[in-house]
Amino acid sequence: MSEREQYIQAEQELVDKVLEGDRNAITTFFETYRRLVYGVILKSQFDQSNADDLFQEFFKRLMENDWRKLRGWNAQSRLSTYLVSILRNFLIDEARKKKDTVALDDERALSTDPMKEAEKKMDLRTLKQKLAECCRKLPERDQKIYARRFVDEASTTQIAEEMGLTPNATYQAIHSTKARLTRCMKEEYPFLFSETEEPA
Amino acid sequence: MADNEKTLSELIADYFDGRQSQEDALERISKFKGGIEAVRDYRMIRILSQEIDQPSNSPSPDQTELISFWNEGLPLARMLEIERHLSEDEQLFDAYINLRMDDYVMEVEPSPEVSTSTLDMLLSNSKAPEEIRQTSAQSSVSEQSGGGWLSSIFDKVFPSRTSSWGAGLVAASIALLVLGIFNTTDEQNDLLFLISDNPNAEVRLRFRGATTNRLALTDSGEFKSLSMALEPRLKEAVISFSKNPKPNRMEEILSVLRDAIGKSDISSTERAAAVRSLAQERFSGLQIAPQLWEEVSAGGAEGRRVSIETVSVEKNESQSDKATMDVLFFSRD
Repeated sequence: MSEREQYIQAEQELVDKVLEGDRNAITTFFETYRRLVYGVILKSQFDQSNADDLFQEFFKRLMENDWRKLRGWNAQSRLSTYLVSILRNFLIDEARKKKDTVALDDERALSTDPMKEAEKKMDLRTLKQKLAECCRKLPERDQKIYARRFVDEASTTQIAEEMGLTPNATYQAIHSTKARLTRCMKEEYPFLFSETEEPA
Repeated sequence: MADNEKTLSELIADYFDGRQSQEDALERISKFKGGIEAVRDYRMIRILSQEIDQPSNSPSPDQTELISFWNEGLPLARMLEIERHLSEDEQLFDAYINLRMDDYVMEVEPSPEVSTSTLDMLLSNSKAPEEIRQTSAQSSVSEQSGGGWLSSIFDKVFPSRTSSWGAGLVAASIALLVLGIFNTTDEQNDLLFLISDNPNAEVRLRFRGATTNRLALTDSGEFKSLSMALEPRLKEAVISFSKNPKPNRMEEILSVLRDAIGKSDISSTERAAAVRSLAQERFSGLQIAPQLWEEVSAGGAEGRRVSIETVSVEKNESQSDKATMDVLFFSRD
């Protein structure tokens, strides 16, 4: 059995016990994930002023209807990934309900049940799609820079020659392209990127 | 432009262009606050940008190698191979984003009051009869769970959790177990050690192998001790480990040591053997001398010469159990 399978098996045993109402398992579950949940709430760009309330509300929702949301985990992804997915959707939902100033795109606005989006929001394909979306928002020149640098893996020198830029301007252009993409990704997945705002 | 005038973004661009040795590049990048993190973000964008038309031929990384990847601790060619694997393997990518989340969001926690009231709410709805429970304000979760299911998981994943390093070790193990940060094959012990900020809490040393040489190796060529300046990267790595003693953070410390060994003027064969002996799996943790810890935790000690040794410590305080484990020991030189 691979390491990953061992983890997932341990997670599965833990969840099974939580669903059975085992108090030790519930305690372990809570102790294991409370920092992750709290950290994601704080890192999110939604309403941070009531992180404690959101924290409690999230766990309350999780256990509602006989832990319905936890039962939605299918043991294909890691439990932590799944929890962060539904937490993220919960936060979007909360922000929408409160008519927060956070901009919600159409896809989010259509979401009425965070569970429906749970499994598709943190996987590789979805993240790649999100990056492609972010890329389409770049100015035309930066889209070219992105394609050459990150897709084709062209060197700085190659890009400079092709685009008629000085070395310094190329560095700047790559930097600003990467910075815009990171910022765009962080709007939805702040917990997947560092706090660093790389200086130009 | 002189290399030492380059900005972080220029250095990162050069790093990915392979314009200078990996070691030099990382050393310079790590001098910037958040430098390594910026490299990781860059890599994330690269991983998500790759269009895979045919599967990789190279071996897929295991968890240990993934942690080294996270720490930029593999040769560049291998880093690129792993990027490709991450870009095409959903499960591997899942493990990778768990590493990222663990590093980026696990530094905070809710107040004990909020934790307790939330846990009370969860338990108030449990169907099972009352059993012993405890919150984060108390100590170990697993120790009171007896020989039940939790114990069986731990026996399986942590076969050697018999140390006397404290209840917090086991509690932290639970988080790490499920977050999947460290190696868990049955042949390997769990890596965990809670660095102490208590000057009276030094472990009992059974063996001290240090010498006053800059770098000392054992007869078989393994790393024994090293005297070096506590450079910012190393200091940050130690502080980071003290906050959250996880294997990937130990790996960062070991990576600094490997770099230092790489610069030493011993033969390449000796260097290779010494570097090999600094495998993360070998170490159960880190111990720091109270005086040095006092300085480090107060924000000082940067540039101070420190001695770093491999020491063997007793796993258990029981007089009858003399089992030992290796830890890295930091002290003032």
